[in-house]
Amino acid sequence: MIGELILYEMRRSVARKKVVSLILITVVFEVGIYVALSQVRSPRIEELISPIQPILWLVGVLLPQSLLLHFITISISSGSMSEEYEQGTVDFFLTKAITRLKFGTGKLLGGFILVSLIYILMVILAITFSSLLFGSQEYLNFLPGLILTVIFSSLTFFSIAFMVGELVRRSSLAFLISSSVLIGSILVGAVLVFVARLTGDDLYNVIAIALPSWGATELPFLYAGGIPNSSLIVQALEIFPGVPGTQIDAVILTIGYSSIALIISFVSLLTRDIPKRIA
Amino acid sequence: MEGVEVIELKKSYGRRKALAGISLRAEPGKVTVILGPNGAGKTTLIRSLMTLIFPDSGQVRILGRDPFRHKEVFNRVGYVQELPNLPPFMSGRELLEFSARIKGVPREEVDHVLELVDMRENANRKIAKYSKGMTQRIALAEALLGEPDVLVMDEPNVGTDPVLNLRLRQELEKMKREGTSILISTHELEEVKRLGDEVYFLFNGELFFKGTVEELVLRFLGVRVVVETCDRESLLGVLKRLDYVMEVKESGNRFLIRLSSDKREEFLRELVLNEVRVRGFFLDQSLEEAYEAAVREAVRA
Repeated sequence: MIGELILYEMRRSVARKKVVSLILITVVFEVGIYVALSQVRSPRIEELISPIQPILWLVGVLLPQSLLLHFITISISSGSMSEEYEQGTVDFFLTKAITRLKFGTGKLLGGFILVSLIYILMVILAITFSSLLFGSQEYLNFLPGLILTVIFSSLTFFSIAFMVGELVRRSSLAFLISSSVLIGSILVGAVLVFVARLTGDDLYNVIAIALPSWGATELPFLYAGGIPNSSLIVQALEIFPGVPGTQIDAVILTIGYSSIALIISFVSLLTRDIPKRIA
Repeated sequence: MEGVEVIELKKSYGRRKALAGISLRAEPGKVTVILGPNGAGKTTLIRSLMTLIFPDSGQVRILGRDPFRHKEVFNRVGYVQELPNLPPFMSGRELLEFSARIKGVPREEVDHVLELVDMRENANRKIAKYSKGMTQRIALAEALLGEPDVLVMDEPNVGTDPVLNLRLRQELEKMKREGTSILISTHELEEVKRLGDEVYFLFNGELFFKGTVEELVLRFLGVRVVVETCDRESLLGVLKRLDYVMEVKESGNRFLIRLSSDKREEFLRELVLNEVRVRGFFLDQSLEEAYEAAVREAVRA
């Protein structure tokens, strides 16, 4: 039964124009960046790209992680529960032999699998275009670990948006709140990092690390830092360069934020009444 | 007990009591109707039954089990929402096949229920493209899938056409004969009159009346009989002598007579003994008027 719900959720999300638009934008970015890099052939750019040409796959793999993937995640996840309430379709499922726990779990997994598949599509595009336009790519042995870190770190905002959607039960509001948390957290984090640099007080860095955006965005960059000659790409795409956090910190924060958000979501789903269609 | 049982169900929203200790039984082979004006608590009662709302106290039993703890019981329950909201990106057939898989019903049943609601030709269109009536047909088909032991319907006639209403009535009569417990919340009094075995009249979250349709009419409208005769003078002569005749309205050969109590048999005997040539004699059951009178009385109470 969970399988049915997973497939249902994936189909439901893909049927939404907002999600499809975001995926298309990301694909255009993904392809566009390689086409742009291959077309702009100034001596300076040649000089810059030449040493990293064999690892240019990393650009396409890390690019969505900075922001776009999080927006796709929020778009899918914030509507997961809230749209069921808005459209009244939640009644259809919960008046079947489907427990609320199974319903929530199926939708959560369906949405998350879809996010993972979208990301894997981006990775395939990145590998294909980097190989086609810049020749044979190296250090692809890092790829599985990198994919895992990106998918894992997307859990933070996936869970937060799922929670907000369940709590407010209105899709536009849930998307707005979740996106504001993402953007707000990135902006505040960036300011705190700047203040830490100015004052030399590491406390600001600690606070910046504790915000949801740091763990959600930095883990893949920290992992990619282990790839030889990757520093240029990592620094160019990283949102919080130079913050002294570790991969363990990022993992703990991702687990922490995700767990809290999911616990709140399920407590709400399991204990609150389902009102008649809201919208 | 098989069927549906609700015991002392209470639900409040803040200080407003939506359900103030409602008890109800919908037995197998019977159509149980929940009546009442808007805001009476009908939908809250049905949504509590379907586990969408958690009651503050009281119990719900479907086929002898607590549906909140044993959701598998819903494999034997059909439910039609008021203005059904179905996933718009699915086709009618996809939705029914999805439901069949969840209920463990063979796929062939889908065609049978589609036939029943006359939706085979439109089954592959997206639900988003359906009219309100077509959506209602698919919702009915979904509820009837797998021949449920319990059928719960919240305003099933909203948006349906007379042909579908007739089919629905025929199907409900068949299900009733086969022993299905049918619980309907409706404002369609014509359907109540035709199908209803037991009526629960709710008002402000309280059970105001419970009984058969006939009992509802008798209680709130009194006893009204219609006598058809060409023997006007003899009839009026008899009526003058009977102290329990409260009111007489004449319309051609039809006389609408209100009695102070249920003395139908005695009245008929008087007509026969006085050799009034009666062509027709029947109870006037205007459920609409009885319903209106019940609401008035409930407001006063």
